[in-house]
Amino acid sequence: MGLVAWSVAIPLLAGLVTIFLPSRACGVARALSLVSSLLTVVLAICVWVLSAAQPAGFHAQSSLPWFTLPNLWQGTDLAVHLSFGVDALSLPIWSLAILISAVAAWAAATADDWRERGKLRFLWLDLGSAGVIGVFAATDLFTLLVAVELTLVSAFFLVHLFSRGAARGAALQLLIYRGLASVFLITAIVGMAYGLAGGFGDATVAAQSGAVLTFDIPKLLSQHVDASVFPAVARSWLFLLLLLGVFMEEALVPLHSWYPAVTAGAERWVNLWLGGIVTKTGAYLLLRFGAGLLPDQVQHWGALLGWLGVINILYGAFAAWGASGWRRLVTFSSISHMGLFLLGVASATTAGAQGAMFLIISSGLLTALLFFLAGGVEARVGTERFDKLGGLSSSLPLLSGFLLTGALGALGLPLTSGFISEIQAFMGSFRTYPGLSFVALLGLILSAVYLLYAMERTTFGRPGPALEATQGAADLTGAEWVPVLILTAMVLLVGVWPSVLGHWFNPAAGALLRIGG
Amino acid sequence: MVWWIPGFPLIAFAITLLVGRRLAEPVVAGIAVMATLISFVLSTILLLHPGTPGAVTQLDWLTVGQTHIGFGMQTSHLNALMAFVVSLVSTLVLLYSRGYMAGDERFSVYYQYLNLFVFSMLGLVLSANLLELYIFWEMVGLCSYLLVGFWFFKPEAALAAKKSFIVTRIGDTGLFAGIVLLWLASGSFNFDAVFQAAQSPGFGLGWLSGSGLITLVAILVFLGAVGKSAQFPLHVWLPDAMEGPTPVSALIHAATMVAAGVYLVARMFPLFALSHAALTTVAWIGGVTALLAALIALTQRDIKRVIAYSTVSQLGYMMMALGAGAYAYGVFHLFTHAFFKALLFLTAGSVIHALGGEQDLFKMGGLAGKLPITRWTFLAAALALAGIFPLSGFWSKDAILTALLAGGHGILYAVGLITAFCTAFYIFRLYFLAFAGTPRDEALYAHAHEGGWVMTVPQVVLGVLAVMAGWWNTPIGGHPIERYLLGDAGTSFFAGTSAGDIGHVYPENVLWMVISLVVALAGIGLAAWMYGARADQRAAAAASAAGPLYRVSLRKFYLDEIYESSVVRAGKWLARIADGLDRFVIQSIVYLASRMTYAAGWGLRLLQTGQVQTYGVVAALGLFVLIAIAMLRGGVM
Amino acid sequence: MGGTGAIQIPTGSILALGAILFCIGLYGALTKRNLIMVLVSIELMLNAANVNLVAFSRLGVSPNLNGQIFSLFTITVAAAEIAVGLALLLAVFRVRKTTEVRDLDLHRR
Repeated sequence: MGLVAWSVAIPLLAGLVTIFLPSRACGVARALSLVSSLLTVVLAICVWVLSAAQPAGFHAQSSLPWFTLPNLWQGTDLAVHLSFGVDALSLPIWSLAILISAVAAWAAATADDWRERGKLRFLWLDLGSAGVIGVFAATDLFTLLVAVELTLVSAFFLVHLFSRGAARGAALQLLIYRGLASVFLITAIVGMAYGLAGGFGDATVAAQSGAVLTFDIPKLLSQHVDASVFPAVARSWLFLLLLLGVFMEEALVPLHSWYPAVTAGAERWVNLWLGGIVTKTGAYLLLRFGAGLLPDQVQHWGALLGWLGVINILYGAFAAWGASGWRRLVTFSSISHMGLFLLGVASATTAGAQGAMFLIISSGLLTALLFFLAGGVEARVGTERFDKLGGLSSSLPLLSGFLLTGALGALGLPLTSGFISEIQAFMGSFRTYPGLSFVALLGLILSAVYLLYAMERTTFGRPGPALEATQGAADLTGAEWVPVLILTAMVLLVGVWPSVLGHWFNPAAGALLRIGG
Repeated sequence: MVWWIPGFPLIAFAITLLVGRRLAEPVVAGIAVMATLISFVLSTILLLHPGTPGAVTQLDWLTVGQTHIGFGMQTSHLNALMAFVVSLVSTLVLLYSRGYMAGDERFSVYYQYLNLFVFSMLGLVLSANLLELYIFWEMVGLCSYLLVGFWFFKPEAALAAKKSFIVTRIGDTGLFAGIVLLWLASGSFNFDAVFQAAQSPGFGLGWLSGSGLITLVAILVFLGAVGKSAQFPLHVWLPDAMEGPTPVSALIHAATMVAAGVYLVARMFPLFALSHAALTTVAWIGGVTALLAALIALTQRDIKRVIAYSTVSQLGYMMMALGAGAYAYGVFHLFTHAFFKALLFLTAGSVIHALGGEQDLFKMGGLAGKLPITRWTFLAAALALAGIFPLSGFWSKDAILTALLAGGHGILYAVGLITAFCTAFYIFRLYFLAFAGTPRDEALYAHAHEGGWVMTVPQVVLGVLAVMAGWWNTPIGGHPIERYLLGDAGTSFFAGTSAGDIGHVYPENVLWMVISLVVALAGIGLAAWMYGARADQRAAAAASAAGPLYRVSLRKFYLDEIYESSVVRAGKWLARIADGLDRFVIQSIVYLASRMTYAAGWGLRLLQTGQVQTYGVVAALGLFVLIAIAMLRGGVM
Repeated sequence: MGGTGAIQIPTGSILALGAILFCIGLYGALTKRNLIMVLVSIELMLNAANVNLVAFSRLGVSPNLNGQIFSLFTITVAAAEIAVGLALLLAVFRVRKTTEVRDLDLHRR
């Protein structure tokens, strides 16, 4: 088994073992979860180092034959594998999944009330981590499908179990939205595999060119098929279906309503995990399959993507400005970032695609950091609403300082990951859609407006009505330093030395859009 | 070596960030001042031996597509001069802060921010490419935000910090777009590549090319300068930024950061020179700003606000010079202004410090006896600002006025003269109100005293510079600064230009000099008449005679109110609409969808009677239908 | 197998008997209110099928014993079914105090 396969297997095993533990033994579950997270982080570092010399192509691949399906249509058997591996596109995002899952496990394990439903907490977090890491590590469509569903189920249970107030209904919303999303995504992706094998076109031409139905993702990515084999109409419909799935999975306007509903009530480590990585799966699938298999459709529907992107940027920004508390603000700020992601993809340029990839990482890190810190504020002051906060800098200077760092990263200040992502996306989008890009620039101003407004209401000024209770509250605790420092360090590392990601994403962006500039 | 110029402040920043809280005040201040002092020495060496202008040392930073972006340092005459000014003023202000901020609870944090600022500002003026310049550009904005909001517990400071960041951000977004468009059109962020591409006939993007594109890009870049240098209509943040500690106002909001916009236009001058429309825009924005700010400064009551509006006005002067094509004069004025304006703030800080935080001019008076050093250094700076022969301001201001008139900008020349008159008036109004006459508030006056040596030494040094800095560009010496600055032409720093392209120079004209001197003296005379020893009634009478005009000036032309009621309110409305839309409309649609599913289930439930026999009838009928179909079609399916 | 000298009844008549029996059974199963009557009607339908099976085992295209054996099975299963059915009926009667089919609409609730 390759290293990448182990990154899925270890949390999965931890989860499976946890199932059979008695409920009292939540300490064992916690230890298992932490150890497995640490091991996956070590694995990620190993893969990173071992593959750095040659970024292109797939690394650390491994494949286990699973079962075969009869391929009645072409008469051959369709082998389904349990196979894993990462390439220049997925490796950094896979690493992000590992990092965010590990940080979430740490945050869940060090929360004050970690014994409460302790077994279920670590069980679902382990399984969910295996799922979401698997989404980025899978190199077989069936494996991908299983990973997507595992993520979905785990996310549902985590939200359902660890939310306050009306958020149980929100868990159901998550299940419905993301469940439908995975149906659309898988249908579209399998449809693409079918189409690449000539299913919608001239079967004889396809047979001559040697195209066969396969679930193997590297093979799919290397197939070049002309229009007679895979007609443009079929490509268009499949691309739109994929896009629909991505919008629901990603929580993009107007199909986003599950996201603020969930984050409004979930505990902070759940929000960290959801906002940090689970909402990024759709973006990855759009790049991998939308831009990777159907680059012409990205160009064909570029204007649509661009418009949707601008709508997301502005809608997210205004909704964040209108938000009354941190949870909602961070949620919509993340939606606004992903609007810029869409605009970068829409440009169908290497700079735009590279910016889009950077945005996945940057938005994941910053959303996770902000959710965690805002949760920290809420845990101490008892509220996350702006009208009750204020003057935190005097009693909680460190927490306020890191909150400011996170906010500055999210508004795209240079030397944070936010800036370098944004400028690359704009470097792409200004080439293809200058008009839309000028409108999108408004998002840069608005992000400063709403984030600084939130900072002013939270940490500056006179102590708010809710602060009296915090006089005895400690600043960042020892356990909280770990997620905060790791995430902040990553945000700054990417911002100060972006080549650390560019090393992978530059060849990935070049390979992604085989046509176009 | 050039790396170390910003390098030392960065090291000082790292030290104060990591262990600053545990160090004593003198140690923190000592580290910061020493680091900046070393930078100053290095900058001086660079100024004297700049080497080949345009030389770059850089590292590979990021590859985007096929473009390799570097991160490095570029030296030239302009950059060396800027680094010299920045490090000099920084050293003095950091020393002064030791006294001004003594005893503050967050003393080390203050020095931490200032070190970061000095690093960023030096990085900005030594940047090797546009992207790097933008990075440092935003970093100095961040430092400004942090330092304006340093006393975060004051709500006004928190609001002012937010406002300063957001308003400059509006301009920065223009700069951002300009940089990206320049990259698209030239394929590089490097200055020389950009200038060469702009001069080539094929310069363009698909949708815009040639001079249209140059004008668009130049104006976008200028938008960044408008925000940072507080030009009309984005000047509203600078006066509010006076909520920060006064040494910060001296360093960031007078001498260095706000001059970065002027530096930016100077740095990009070959691009501006290619577009007449862009240059005209620069000149007129500068002119409007200069006059507007000077008119507002006439009536303000807060000592720092008067000087802040004066800064806005003088920055407008520099922009006018650049817009008129007088590159060297604009930079020369930046150079002299940095000294006398920083000095004005430091002396104002000394006054505020002496009066225990009081900033209202009408509670001061008679301080000349109590604060002798402050009084004389202030007088030197005020005379320099008013443009009195032979102080520094006289030479640079007169050069600009000469360039305006000789360059055929008659109206702007008149604007400049009126501004000069107002400038002389308001600064001496301030002088007479604060230092002359009798104390208006005895309690405050009784405690007034001069600060320690850390505060007076920087004042004296800057006082000497305020008097003498202008002598560096007199006809007697053969205009050394002009020649120094124009030495950049034709090098890779200003690729593809000649000395004539990047800046016009004009010989001095004695008659015009006399005119501007007379105008300045008239302003001082009027101030003495209205605010001198026995004149309180005259000022009040003049104010009531001016009536609405006085109020317009006092209320800053109502610009804050106009912005508040238009842009800000519209934005807030949109935000509320978006929030409402999301909470109610979109959530309702989702709710509706779930309700419809539920209703459909409820409707279908009616068919399920629970009666086995009914189901049986339906099943039997279905079977009959199937059989009938099979029989009619003559086969099973 | 086939007896000799006996009167040959036409196939159509036997099938008609089966069809009539089946229809009576179906009618009864769908309309009778009493659960016992429904069970009896189901028996009728099963026996209609048996008549057909036996008829075809004698008069079909390729006559053999399969049909008769199959009908024996049917009779056995029907007996077992009746036993279970009556047992269920008793159980239902104990709980609900009724054997009316209309009242047994638990699924609806």
